[in-house]
Amino acid sequence: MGGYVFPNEIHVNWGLFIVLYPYITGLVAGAFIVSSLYHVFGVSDLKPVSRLSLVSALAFLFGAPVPLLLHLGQPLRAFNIMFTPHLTSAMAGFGYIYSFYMIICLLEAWFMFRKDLVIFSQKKKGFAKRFYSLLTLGAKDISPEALHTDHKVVSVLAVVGIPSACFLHGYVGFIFGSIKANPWWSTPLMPVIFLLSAIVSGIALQILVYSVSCKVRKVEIDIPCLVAMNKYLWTFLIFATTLELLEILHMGYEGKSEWDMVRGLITQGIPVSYLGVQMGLGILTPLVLLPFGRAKRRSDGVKKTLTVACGILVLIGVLAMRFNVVIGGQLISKSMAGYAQFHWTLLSDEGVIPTLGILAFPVVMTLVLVRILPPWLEERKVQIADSKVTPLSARWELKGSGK
Amino acid sequence: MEAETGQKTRMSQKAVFRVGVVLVCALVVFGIIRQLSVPKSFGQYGYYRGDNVQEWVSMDQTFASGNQVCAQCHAQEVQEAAQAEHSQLDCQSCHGPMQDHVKQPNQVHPRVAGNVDLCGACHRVMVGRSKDNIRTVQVGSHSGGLDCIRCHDPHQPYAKIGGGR
Ligand code: HEC
Ligand code: HEC
Ligand code: HEC
Ligand code: HEC
Repeated sequence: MGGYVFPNEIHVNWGLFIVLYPYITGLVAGAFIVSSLYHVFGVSDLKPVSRLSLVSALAFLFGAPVPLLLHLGQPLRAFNIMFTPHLTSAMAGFGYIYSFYMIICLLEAWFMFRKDLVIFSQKKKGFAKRFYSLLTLGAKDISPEALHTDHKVVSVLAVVGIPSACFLHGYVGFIFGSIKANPWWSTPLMPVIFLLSAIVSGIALQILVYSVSCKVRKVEIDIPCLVAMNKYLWTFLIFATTLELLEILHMGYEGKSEWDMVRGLITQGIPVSYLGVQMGLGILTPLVLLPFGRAKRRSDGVKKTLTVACGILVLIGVLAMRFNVVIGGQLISKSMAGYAQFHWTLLSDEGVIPTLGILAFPVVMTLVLVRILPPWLEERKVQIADSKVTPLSARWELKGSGK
Repeated sequence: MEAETGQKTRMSQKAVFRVGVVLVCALVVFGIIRQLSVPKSFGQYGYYRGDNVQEWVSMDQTFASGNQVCAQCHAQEVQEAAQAEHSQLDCQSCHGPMQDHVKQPNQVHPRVAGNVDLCGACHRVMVGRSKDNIRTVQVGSHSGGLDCIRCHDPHQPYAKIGGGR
């Protein structure tokens, strides 16, 4: 490490907050895709998490701009980019893309929960009653026709939501991928890589949120649902890994002049977080373990443990991936003759502790939203009903071989 | 019968209609806030606030325009400095903005401390600082905690320690 870097590169300007930005945004996009797998693609095994994942997508969506606003120092400046956006600025797109996506998510959640809102506004008392009344916007018709309309709107929104989610996160990748002066970022694959790792992290998050919520509510985990998430996680992980490896192998085989810098970055700059955490812990380990976590022979306990453990590993791995992209890219000097140094701090200068605080925000948001819009009301019934029809553990295999 | 179904469909559209109204309101609010907060002169010359140009023009000058101004009254220092290693520096890169001093030399007496921070700002070893461009020192070990000007004359860095190299 060391060598010559330009003076304006000594300080790594995009710190840990900016690492969180693509991470949280990715979790949103991923969580939304999980909910759409049920609502749009009819993956019925995922029904138990379909509402939960929409609610957590919404919660994480509230959390996504927080690191950006705090990074700005003067958060109100953020609105300038929306009031007077410049067409040549990729970054100027964020406010609009984010807001559009936020509207889609809010609308979908509203129509999905409208019936519950109306019922709450009738049953609850005092402040809660008024609060829910307000949330219904006065649309208190829950006749079958009205609910049918709601359902249709939700379907349309879910369909619109998928490209929007892809666009939101693909866009985040584009911001990095379009920096032509930075060999570690500049690749048209970047948006796709970001998108796939987002989906991967979103599924992993749902595995975690779902199993934790079951634990807290003392409900049996729906094993077919868990196994389905396991399978999707594994599948998307393969795609994401393929692209990530493709990018790096392509760069290495081409061996353009920048490759030396990139190789130095990987082997000396960020070897632990790249080779160790991102590749080893976050990709290789889950790729090997996930199939065991859904094998027929394994007991439910093993399935749960392995799948949840892999979920956690993937979440850590993707966080490391965001770190390696955001921080790693800034370590390579434009002089192509040296590397800057990233300094970990605890409190000041986007330190670890405030970063953890920001990371906790969407989690707290999820807890709050789940209180306001309990996503399980119907789910519980479904679970009990289902468990009577077929033994839980046998269902996935039946589905898999049948269709 | 027909009227009744009509009634029902309209009722079921209610939710969509209300949400639409909320969205339109949000858009209008955004438009109003934008209208209020974007400065009038934005875009006058280019993609920035036009008034800004005038503001810069009418700003008070804080720096005197170059060493020749100082030479009018501090001919000796200017001459000394011009012969030594710091010849390429502007006096004000160490002394700070001096326009007020030039206007009122007897009232305004700006002082500069010749400590490690002043000299280190340019001479401290840093990754982004090539030895080819400027001589650098490990500030702590080189000065041993003393102010740099205890050994170096700021205007002629080697004058006190046996002349230049
Ligand atoms: C109009 C004449 C004039 C000009 C032009 C002028 N000075 Fe001075 N300067 C003075 C006078 C008079 C003093 C006060 C001498 C005293 O009180 O002993 C002084 C004092 C100083 C001192 C010493 C302050 C102190 O407290 O010891 C510094 C440093 C200084 N000038 C720097 C500059 C620099 C740098 C410039 C060029 C930007 C400059 N001066 C331009 C007249 C001038
Ligand atoms: C490398 C930084 C530096 C530069 C460049 C510099 N000075 Fe100074 N100057 C100092 C410091 C530090 C002192 C205070 C010395 C002290 O406290 O003993 C000083 C003191 C002075 C004084 C007070 C009298 C004295 O000699 O102690 C004058 C006058 C002065 N400078 C004028 C100038 C002028 C005119 C120039 C431009 C030719 C200039 N300086 C350039 C650092 C600098
Ligand atoms: C604004 C930047 C700047 C400041 C502040 C500054 N210097 Fe310098 N210094 C230079 C430049 C530029 C040179 C000439 C390039 C070189 O030789 O390194 C130089 C040269 C020198 C040299 C001669 C190096 C050599 O062997 O050629 C010494 C010694 C020195 N400075 C000491 C000091 C001291 C002591 C101070 C504090 C009073 C100081 N400098 C403050 C920019 C600065
Ligand atoms: C104890 C006296 C002393 C102090 C204090 C001191 N220097 Fe020096 N410095 C010297 C001597 C003697 C030399 C010339 C011999 C050498 O090259 O080491 C020198 C050389 C230098 C050089 C040229 C180095 C080179 O590589 O050619 C620079 C730059 C310099 N000093 C900057 C500073 C700065 C900045 C400070 C304050 C942090 C400082 N000095 C404090 C004694 C001192």
